[in-house]
Amino acid sequence: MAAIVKRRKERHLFAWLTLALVALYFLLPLVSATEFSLRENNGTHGLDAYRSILQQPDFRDVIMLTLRLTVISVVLSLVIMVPTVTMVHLGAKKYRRLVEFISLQPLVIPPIVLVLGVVNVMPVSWLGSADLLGFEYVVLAMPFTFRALDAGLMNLDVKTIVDAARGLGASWLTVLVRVVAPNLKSGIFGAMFLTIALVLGEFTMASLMLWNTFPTWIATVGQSDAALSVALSVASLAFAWVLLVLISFADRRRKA
Amino acid sequence: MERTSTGVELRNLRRTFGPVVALDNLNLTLQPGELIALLGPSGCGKTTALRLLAGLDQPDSGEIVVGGKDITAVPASKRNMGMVFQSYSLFPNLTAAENVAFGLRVRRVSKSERLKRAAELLELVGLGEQRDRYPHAMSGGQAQRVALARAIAVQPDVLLLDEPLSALDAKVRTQLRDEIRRLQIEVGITTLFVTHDQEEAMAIADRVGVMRAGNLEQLDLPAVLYARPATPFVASFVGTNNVLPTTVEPNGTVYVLGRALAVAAGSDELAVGQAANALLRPESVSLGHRDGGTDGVAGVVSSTSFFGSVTRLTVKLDAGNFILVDMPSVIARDFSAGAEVLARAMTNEVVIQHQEAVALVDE
Amino acid sequence: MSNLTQSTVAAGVRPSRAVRRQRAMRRARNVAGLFPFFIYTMIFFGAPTVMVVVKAFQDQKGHWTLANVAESIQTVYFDSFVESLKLSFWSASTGTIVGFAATYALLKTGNAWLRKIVQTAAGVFANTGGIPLAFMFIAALGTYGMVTQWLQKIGIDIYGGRWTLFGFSGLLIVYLYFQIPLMVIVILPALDAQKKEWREAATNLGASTRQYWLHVGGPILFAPVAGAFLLLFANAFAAYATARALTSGTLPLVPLQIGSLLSGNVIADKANLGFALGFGMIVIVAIAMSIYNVTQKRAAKWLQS
Ligand SMILES: Nc1ncnc2c1ncn2[C@@H]1O[C@H](COP(=O)(O)OP(=O)(O)OP(=O)(O)O)[C@@H](O)[C@H]1O
Ligand SMILES: [Mg+2]
Repeated sequence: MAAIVKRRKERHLFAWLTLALVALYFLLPLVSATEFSLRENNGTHGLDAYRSILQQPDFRDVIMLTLRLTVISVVLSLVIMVPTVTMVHLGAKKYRRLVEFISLQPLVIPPIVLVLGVVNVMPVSWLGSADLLGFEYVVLAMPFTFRALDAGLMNLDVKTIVDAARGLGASWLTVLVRVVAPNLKSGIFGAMFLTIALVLGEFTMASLMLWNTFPTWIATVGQSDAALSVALSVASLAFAWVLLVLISFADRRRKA
Repeated sequence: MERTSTGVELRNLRRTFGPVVALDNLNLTLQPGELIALLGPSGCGKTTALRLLAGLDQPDSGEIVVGGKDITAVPASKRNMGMVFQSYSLFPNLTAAENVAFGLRVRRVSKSERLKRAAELLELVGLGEQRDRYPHAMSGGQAQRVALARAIAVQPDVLLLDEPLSALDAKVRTQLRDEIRRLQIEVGITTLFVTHDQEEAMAIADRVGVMRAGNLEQLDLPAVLYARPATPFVASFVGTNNVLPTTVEPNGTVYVLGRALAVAAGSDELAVGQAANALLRPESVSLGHRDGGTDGVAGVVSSTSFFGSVTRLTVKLDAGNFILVDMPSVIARDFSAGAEVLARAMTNEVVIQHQEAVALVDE
Repeated sequence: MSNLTQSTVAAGVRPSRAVRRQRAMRRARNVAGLFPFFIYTMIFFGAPTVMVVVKAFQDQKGHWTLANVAESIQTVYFDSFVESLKLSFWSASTGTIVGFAATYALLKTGNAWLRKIVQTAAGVFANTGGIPLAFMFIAALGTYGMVTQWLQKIGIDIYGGRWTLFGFSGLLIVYLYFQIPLMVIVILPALDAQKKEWREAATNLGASTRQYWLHVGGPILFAPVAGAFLLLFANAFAAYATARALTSGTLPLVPLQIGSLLSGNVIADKANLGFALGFGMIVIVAIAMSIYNVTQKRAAKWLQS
């Protein structure tokens, strides 16, 4: 009997050991990068690299462009997807599978292939504007926005609620604003955060369409100043992670 | 399916989970071919006892003896016991027939042989037609039948059932309960059946064991358990009781609903003059119309519930407390709500308890 | 509720003409509401994709030809497909195995607190890639990386031989940083759905651990694990940023080839070759998706629909 108890404990130990090894793999690069970004020329550690981020000449332009793309993608995503997803839950249920299928396709077609098509098919005047990149980010974000919004509406029986509200004499507009939107709130937040995280990390399309967004800028900087680029990497990761952690909290609230 | 049955003995079993004593000191003997139902409040250790017997869990101390051999150290897979779980235990990737054949498959019985056996067993539980269904396409009742067939397919020495019917609706429940009993007798297999439901336990078992806080309080024939509970706990746990305050008289009797009754075995020891609670079964109370006589305690019928052949009346006594009275429905027709009645005890003896004991038994 | 009304209508008389017209109109309006979505995806996703496929079969003057596709599976381009497939395969298999083991271990500990942390962390790490990821590993395992130096101190020189972070195995190690968490995210619900009763029932019926996994656990987990593997495969296959940042083109991978063709680092007459490579990628992902569908369908017969 003692042997049985011991075996039970050993298996537990093995589980913790496995997890510890995996955790080590994930933490080491993180720690290394942080340490590296804090190294200073004289062999000490400090925040020099982080301070110099703000002094980069093109820093302002890069941030402005990135913010601009973020706003475009987030707003456009919601404008296109909220009515669409609401619609497939209300009147056009038949089309839900089709819309879902289309929304998930950007996971199937690699961005590198998409950008190849984009630079060849789009009119030159459009290619001259960075906004096109934002329009494409809406597409790249579609699988996530669809899922977040779809899950938000799936949980409650929208049809019944809307019928009830209409039965009480509410107009369509009232229904959308008063009934659908509040129920979509967490879904909308989830979609927004995911879109922001995507824009702040997207490299493939931005670099091949030759726009200097935050991710492509880090790559350029990296060619001249290693410590600075690592500091930028750490900072951008930290920022993206804060966003993603917020998403997971929004998710949890929705489930609760 | 001619075979000899095996006896089972649990000796001084103890199992604790940290500070929780799931089993304190459990002793239980099953005769070969016997069906014992284990009854008890939630958390009293029924499932734990079953799992120890099956080998799915190990006792801190004590022995498990099956067919005269100590199997305490034998791993679960070698114990040859069939177990039916409360629910969700069918393998979802296997059809009904494949589920039933599973035990034979791991025993390396040939495919044709085991499918034949599975078909027979499914026939036996009335599911001959469903053999190629997957579990998700079966009703709860059907799934439990398959689980039962699967458990007996390996010709186990002992059959273990852990509340196998609790997820089913009332009708399927009684039906399947009777089927389990029929099968058990037919196969002659020693069986331990765990349940919450006293009616179920009484109906199905040769003997019923009542557990409390990790110990067996009483193990007896259903009728004996009901009529002569060995402890106040059993008395109050089994069946419905009216709890009536009374006092112990100098001659050792108690007055209950207008009658002097002897104190039954299994009562608490109480001194003369001490206040006590008498536990009186609803069917041990008779009612008469108030204008018909003077015997008994006056009250008013406040409501009636019809249970088919029996009707249960709730009577508000003039003292302010309520009692339940069961009587054949044909008679109950004379007493509608609002009728003024006299209630009277119908038995010769009654179980009494310390007045504070009642609090212990609420489920 | 709507079912009820529908069946009552079906059982009764045909709805009046006015009602039918009203319904048809409402249906038309509902579909019309989806137009912005359809048009948007057509312009910004459908058109570029179709463009890649069409141009893969045209020369620069617009004549139909198979030359691009033929060239895309020859010489250095063939090698890059092989290399890409190898990298995707190995990073997906390793990611599947390690991610599965980690998830299994996580559930084995039964620690709810740890579970929450791992779930959140997996969501975060799975979305890490590109330049920041590359720099993180350079800081750890690069020539002057922290881990490299630690290892040197205890007498292990990982750069002593021919190994480099910027080669195939280096990239593999880096890819696992997003592959393992992706596996954890995908497989956790499937492992969660495993019922303790199945295992106990099997043991009770005399099955050994091996037999349980062979007949029950394995078949049940096959579809989710195969699905996860293919997802990881497609994920690695499409990855461009991380590979580009780490290898700066020294490793021939299809996305990198397309990238360099696109940024015009190559002679002009090869312009349409990029489309052929893109088309090749689409074909390979499509094959992976078909296998995915087959594996899921196999499971569907016993899965609750
Ligand atoms: N794995 C476990 N870990 C910790 N405590 C446990 C475990 N299994 C059982 N217990 C505790 O042991 C006691 C007995 O549990 P058991 O499951 O045997 O009760 P039961 O009589 O079957 O109850 P029920 O009728 O509700 O099924 C309970 O207090 C329970 O909380
Ligand atoms: Mg139990």
